[in-house]
Amino acid sequence: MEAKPGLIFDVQRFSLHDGPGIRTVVFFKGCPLRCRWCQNPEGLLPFPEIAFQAERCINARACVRACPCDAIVYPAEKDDGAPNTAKRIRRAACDRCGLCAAACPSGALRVVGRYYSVDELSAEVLRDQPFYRASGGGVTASGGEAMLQTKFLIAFFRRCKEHGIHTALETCGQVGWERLVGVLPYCDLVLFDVKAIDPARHRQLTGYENTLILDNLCRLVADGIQIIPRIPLIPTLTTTPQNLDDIALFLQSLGLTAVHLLPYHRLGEDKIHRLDSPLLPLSLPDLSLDEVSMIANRFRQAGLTPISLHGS
Amino acid sequence: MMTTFPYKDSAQALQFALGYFDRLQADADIRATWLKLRAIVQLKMRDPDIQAYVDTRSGTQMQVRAGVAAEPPNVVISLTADVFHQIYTGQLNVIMAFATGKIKTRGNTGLVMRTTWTLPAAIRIYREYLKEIGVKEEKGSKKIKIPTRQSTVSGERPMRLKERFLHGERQVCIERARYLTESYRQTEGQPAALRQARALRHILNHLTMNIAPDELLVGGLTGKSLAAAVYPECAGQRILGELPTLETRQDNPFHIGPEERRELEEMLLYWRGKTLEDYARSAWPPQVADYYDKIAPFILTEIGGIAHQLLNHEKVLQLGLEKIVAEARQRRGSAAGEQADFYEAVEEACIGVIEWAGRYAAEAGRQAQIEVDPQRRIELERIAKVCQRVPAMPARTLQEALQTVLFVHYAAQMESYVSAISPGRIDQFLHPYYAADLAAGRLDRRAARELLECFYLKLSESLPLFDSDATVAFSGLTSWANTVIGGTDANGLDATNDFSYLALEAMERMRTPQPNFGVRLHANTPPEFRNRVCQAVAGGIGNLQIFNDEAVIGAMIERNIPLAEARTYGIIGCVEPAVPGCSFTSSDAALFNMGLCLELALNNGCGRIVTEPIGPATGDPRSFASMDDVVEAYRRQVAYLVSLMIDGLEGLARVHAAHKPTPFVSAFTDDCLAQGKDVTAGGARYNFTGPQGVGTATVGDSLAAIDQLVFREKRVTMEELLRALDDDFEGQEPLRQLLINHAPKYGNDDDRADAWARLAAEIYCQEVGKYPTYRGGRYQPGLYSVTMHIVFGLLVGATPDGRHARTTLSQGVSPAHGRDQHGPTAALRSASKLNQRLVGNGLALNQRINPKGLAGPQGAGILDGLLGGYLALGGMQLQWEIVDRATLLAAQERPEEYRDLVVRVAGYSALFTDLSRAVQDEMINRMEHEI
Repeated sequence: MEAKPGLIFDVQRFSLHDGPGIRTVVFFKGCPLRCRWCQNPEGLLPFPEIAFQAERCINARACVRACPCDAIVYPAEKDDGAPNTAKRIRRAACDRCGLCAAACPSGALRVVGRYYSVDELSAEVLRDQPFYRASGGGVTASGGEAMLQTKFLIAFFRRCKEHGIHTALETCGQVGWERLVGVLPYCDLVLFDVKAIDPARHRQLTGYENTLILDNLCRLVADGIQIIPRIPLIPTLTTTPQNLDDIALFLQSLGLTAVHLLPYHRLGEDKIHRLDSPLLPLSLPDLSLDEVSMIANRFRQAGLTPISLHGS
Repeated sequence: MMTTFPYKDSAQALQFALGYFDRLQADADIRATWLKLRAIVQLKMRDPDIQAYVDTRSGTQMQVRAGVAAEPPNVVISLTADVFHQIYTGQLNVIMAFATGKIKTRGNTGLVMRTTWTLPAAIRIYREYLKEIGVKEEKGSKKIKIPTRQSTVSGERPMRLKERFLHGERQVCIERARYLTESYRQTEGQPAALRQARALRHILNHLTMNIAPDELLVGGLTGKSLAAAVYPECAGQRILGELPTLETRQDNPFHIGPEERRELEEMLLYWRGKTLEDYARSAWPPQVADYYDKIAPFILTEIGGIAHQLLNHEKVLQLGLEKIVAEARQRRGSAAGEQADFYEAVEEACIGVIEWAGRYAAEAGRQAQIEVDPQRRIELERIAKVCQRVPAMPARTLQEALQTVLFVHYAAQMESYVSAISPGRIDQFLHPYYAADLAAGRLDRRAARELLECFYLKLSESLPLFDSDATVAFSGLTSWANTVIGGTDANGLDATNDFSYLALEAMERMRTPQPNFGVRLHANTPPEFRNRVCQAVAGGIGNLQIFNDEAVIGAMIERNIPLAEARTYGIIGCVEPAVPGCSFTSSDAALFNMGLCLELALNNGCGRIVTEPIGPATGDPRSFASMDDVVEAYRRQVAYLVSLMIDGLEGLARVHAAHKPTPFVSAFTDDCLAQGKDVTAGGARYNFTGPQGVGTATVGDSLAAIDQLVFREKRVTMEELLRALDDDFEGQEPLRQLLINHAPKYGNDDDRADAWARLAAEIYCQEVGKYPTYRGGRYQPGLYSVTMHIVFGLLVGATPDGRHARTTLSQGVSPAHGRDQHGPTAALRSASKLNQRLVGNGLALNQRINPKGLAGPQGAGILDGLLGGYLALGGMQLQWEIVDRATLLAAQERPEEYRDLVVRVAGYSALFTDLSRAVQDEMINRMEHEI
């Protein structure tokens, strides 16, 4: 039985930070949480969106001609002829048909999110199979939250396993256990986000308490599947000594050792402006190398093996 | 116990120091080195305290003053008086002193480093000075030990030699031209082979001997240590008009003295009407000559001399030239006419080379007698012994073997041309000598590596002298001396050995522009070797390329080379495979502008920059009904221009055979002696001629754009497209953006584009492959561009891939700039879809990766994974540039600080600062993959 098509917003080849070896990361669209630092704001909503990237706009006005809803806002050009960086879409009028993006010559307007059949998506990820083999890599389902499209994910992972491809699931954990259980037979590794231990704090940061998340983590551990917890290091939000110590203690009590640290960076915040996003940019300062290594040491002292990703 | 500084009083110490600096100034080398710094160097000495500075900002005066410079110095050096004393008495190594913090610097430390090569002389002067003023070096001080060969500290000598190589002044040496011309004046009317051989012998009998300090291996293409030779009989005339500006030109300036310039101008007059180009012009149909001048459709590289050969070093090493002379003599006995001349020429040329080695033996012996440093005396004596024996007789030791290779290499460059005389599989033919030395205890691994490092430097010393056009087309001041390591033997078994590792290690340490260094990999390459190679790349070694045995051997078999021989392939020049020792493949015969062919197909045979009919009238594109019509027009343009290029090359082949045979390389190239024929006449076992197609991605992307937007989606009419191309997209930016963003592009693993790139290249390859050569072989295509993609790009108008007029075409088989948006795996997959079996002359794929992500132990693993995947996909060749844009920009801005930055250009490596500005810009704009 063919699963319903999956909504995917990016397929990123040659990814090196989301599991072992050279990987293709498939980004599923739609997420239950609203983490304030979200790096992929285009992955939050479970339907295709129109994004506008002002730097690429060449004022060709093809969008104006193409839009059937009169949703394109086109303020007069500035006096110096510089590209107009105002938002281009009146979101209230837009029905997200995508005709503007199809017409836009420079790629400033773009539809984010595309429906894939399992056949299409697996054909796409199979392209790099020689590189997975040579590097011990594979496929990672990320997002958004891949678990929201459980049936599609199961069908997709099952297909990957049929081709002998290593599979990893990157999840926020905010999903019913019965759904997770269905994926596990086809999943070799779970990268599991741990953001805060205190439930109130967790709600503050992500919109939900973490009861379900931590419960799932405990059950996964009990199930014996390979897990690597990942901790986003967001200055002042998740990096308080209390929170870090709580996390370390919790992971240690579960008998986990490896842990990925994901230092905050602002790259994702640019993308907020391109969308009709509920998020606000945090504009926090980057963590210094010293700060990251101090945090890493804290985990090391708690008997864990931290690996810091994304360079700095 | 080290000795200490002789004075405790500051005033005395200062006087002593200033006296020493005066003596240093008197030494020409030292003075010249300091003058080149054009800087203020402030010296701060402690215990006793002395301040002094050297000011060479004028570039003509070297002022040494006591005290602190009034203006801010470029560099401040602080050290104690004792450390100063220990360095200049040779007790303390200066690099070690830096490393251990005994010398501290502030400012541009590179300036100081540039003077260290003069240290041996400075030490000698210091010690003479001490003696002169009656300061005794304390008794009980460590006598300078005479180390045995085995315990020489490797690292120091090669680094000193490298410093000299990097910072020495590039000069023109006219000696080759002078003695060639002298000889040619005397041999008018004699058979060409004999004239060539006699000229070579005459040159070798007169070329200035040059044994530089520290050298263990000797010889050279010129009589100067860092100079380019002149080839008046080839393209030498082209440099004539540029002689006055040679010294001041922006790219690759060369020094030439006024006397030498006058002499050269006079010599070049003798060659008027007698150059390869002159002879070729009279041999060509008029149209070929016309197109040759236009450059737009193709350039015929062979006009500069063929060179490009994997020499049969194995044979010379095993037999020695004397045996070869004897064989030629014996065969001459039963030969007549041209054959007899050929054998006589072979003898004469080989004898010339033996005599040359003999002159070096004598020179080394002479220098040994007057050498004061006992260690150096031993080295010179050894050099003398080595040169006495080889290349006349078989080599027995690694030093003899390397010296043989160098003599043969230089002589071949001297005879034919400097370009791409390639040593080949050094780990295979040198390993026996290395193993024998180890077994006999003559050498340890380190000493062997030091010799090899000296060898790399010696190869790097051969510089080409290009006119300003060629400087852009073949940028980087390289001689393309290619070596590969690894691979298989004739039975297909893995041939990686300890010497392969050693050769890699030496390259990692030296990072010299030569040899052009490659690694052969195959399914049974030991994983640790492959990983070692990846470590070297991840570590930033800037000059390494990878060849996939399976793909290369497949392409060679397609050209009817027997499997066993194909398995032993080496690489010539950039990326051109050949069977060593028995091939003559003229592998860089020409470069062909595929981008122009597309333009002609879309403009009824006319160019847009060269606005006149160039190709056949293939119809108004507005009348094209489908892609079939577009492709057919392109095919006809390619077919026509290829046929003209072949006419040009055939003419040149005849001219080479008639006027510039190369009896010396023919002496050991199989089966020339057996056939009694020069290589230029077809004496080699395997004969090919290799012209390269340039612009694979540009043409592929253009075809893909027409297919997608004109014929499939009908979003753009042919009329609109052509008008935009005519106007170089002036006022049509939306259309240009549409072509860029809404049509598939080669390099993204998108079959819709990759199939067109494959077809574009295939059409060229098939046309070239149709023709037999004058020398009795076949034409075989390559797909690489050296740096001609920039020059060809200047002559091609806007293209349907959104490329602006006069900008660069795509390079080799790499994706067009910035068009590969899906990461390195997608780009590798695209390249592996090309029909590589047709590309017998090799292809070049460049991929730049930001070094940031390669740090740490996992970096090599990532590259290993990329490489493993690419090999499994059947990709033929790959080179990574592991350098970030910021570094290249900095190097462009402050070349002096980046003098040693080696980069991959296009199937070869060069010092970044030797590249012309246009090529530097092109490299900076290449797609950079982040990890």
